[in-house]
Amino acid sequence: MVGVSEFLFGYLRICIKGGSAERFLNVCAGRGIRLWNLERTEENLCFDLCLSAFYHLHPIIRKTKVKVVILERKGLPFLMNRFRNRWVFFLGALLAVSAWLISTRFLWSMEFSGNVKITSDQLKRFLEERGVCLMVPLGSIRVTELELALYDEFADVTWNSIRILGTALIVDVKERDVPQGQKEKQSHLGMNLISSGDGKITDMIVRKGVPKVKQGDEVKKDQILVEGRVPVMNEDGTVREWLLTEPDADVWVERKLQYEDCESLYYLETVPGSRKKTGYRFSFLGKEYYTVEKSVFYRESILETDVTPKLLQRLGMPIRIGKITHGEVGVTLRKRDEDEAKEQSLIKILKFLTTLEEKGVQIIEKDVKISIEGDFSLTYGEIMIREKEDLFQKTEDELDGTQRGLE
Amino acid sequence: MRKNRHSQIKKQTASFLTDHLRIPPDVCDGESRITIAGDGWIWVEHYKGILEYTGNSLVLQGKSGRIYVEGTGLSMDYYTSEDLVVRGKIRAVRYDAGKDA
Repeated sequence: MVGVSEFLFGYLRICIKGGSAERFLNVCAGRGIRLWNLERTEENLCFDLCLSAFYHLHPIIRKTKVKVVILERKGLPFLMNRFRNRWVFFLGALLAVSAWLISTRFLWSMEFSGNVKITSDQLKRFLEERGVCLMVPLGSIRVTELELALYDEFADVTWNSIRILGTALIVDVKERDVPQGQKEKQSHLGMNLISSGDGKITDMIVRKGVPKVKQGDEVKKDQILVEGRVPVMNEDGTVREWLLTEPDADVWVERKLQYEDCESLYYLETVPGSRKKTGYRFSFLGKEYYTVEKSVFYRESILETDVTPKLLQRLGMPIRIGKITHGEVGVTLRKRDEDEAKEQSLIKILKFLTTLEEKGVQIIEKDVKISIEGDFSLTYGEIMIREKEDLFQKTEDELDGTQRGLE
Repeated sequence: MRKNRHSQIKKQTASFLTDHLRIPPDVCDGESRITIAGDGWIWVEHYKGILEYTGNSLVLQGKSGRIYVEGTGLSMDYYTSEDLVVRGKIRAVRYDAGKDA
């Protein structure tokens, strides 16, 4: 039955003897003195009462002729009195709690998620420009304004959410899948669709513009395939005016691609050395402290592992500890044998072909040879490809007659 | 004489309210209310005072009689002018209206 207020203000365990105990209880009740944990033994009546109520007991004791013995003193005032020689401990505890309470009013960490093209540093700079950095009061952060400003600052952001979780600022971002530049189609009004290289037209579908070639034609580089202006003729056969349009056509051209590559059989190989040095990096409020030099060996590999205690991470404290291992690296000159060199060249060709396919180019035929000559691996040959033309060029011819856009 | 008359009117009014309006007597007349949970806990409200308290019995003065609580190891959780809670092994709760009524 001990409440918080009783503990804070202190209470006593009292035993009364002799006189009239029942009368004592009735008078206490009459005067509004609260008693609890009453226990009756043969002669004694023991109970608890508040420290403040004890000072009002004297007239009641005299009136009821009982003898009072204090059995125990409990509560915070007595506890503090007992530890009065250890006041520094209490002061330290008080300061620790105060520091903790004050620290919860400030921003201690920022977390970014969902960003791929926009780097965390860019987001951090964006927040810092708007006065949101570590150690700012949480109350001064206007989350809604930041969310709106983020859309204005980064065009690729399609959705964002900024929220304060404890003492951390969580920024969730969703970027558009296709870059904005690709989505916004450039206007090619009045321009011509031209050939990007020599080849043979295999397929041709023209939706807009004037076709200048037909399926099966051999075309040269920069030859006009589809013209972006439509002539309007007079009755006498002269051009009255030109209507400008945006050529829209699927023109597939088959052409040969020359492939040549030359690679030395000698290469530098890194070999891990025997020497290692381990140190730590302490990051606190954006400042970094190292226990070892940033560069230890002439040639080295650096491996850093985050060893920040989980407790600090959970509390969102701006402290990060990284374990850095500097390993010495040696370099030796090696020569590939014939098989190795051929395999290396083959990997390069396959990588090149994959890049072409990613660009939408169809590979019809490939005739590539790999040969070893002296200290070099030579790769050469022809690759037959089929690709869609999408190169536009402004017309340089003098236009006779007027011109206007075709609706 | 006047005091007795006044007391009588008050009793009649309380009796009327209790009988006809179905208002509980502890509300309109300030009768003692006793709540018992099992044989180890009793809550008594609206009593006038303690007449006797030992480890084996507790005698309370109610409005219209004495309340006897008998048992062993009786202790009080708390005690105020309004109510009290008794704990212990309770054997009997007896009501004696004759001595004070």
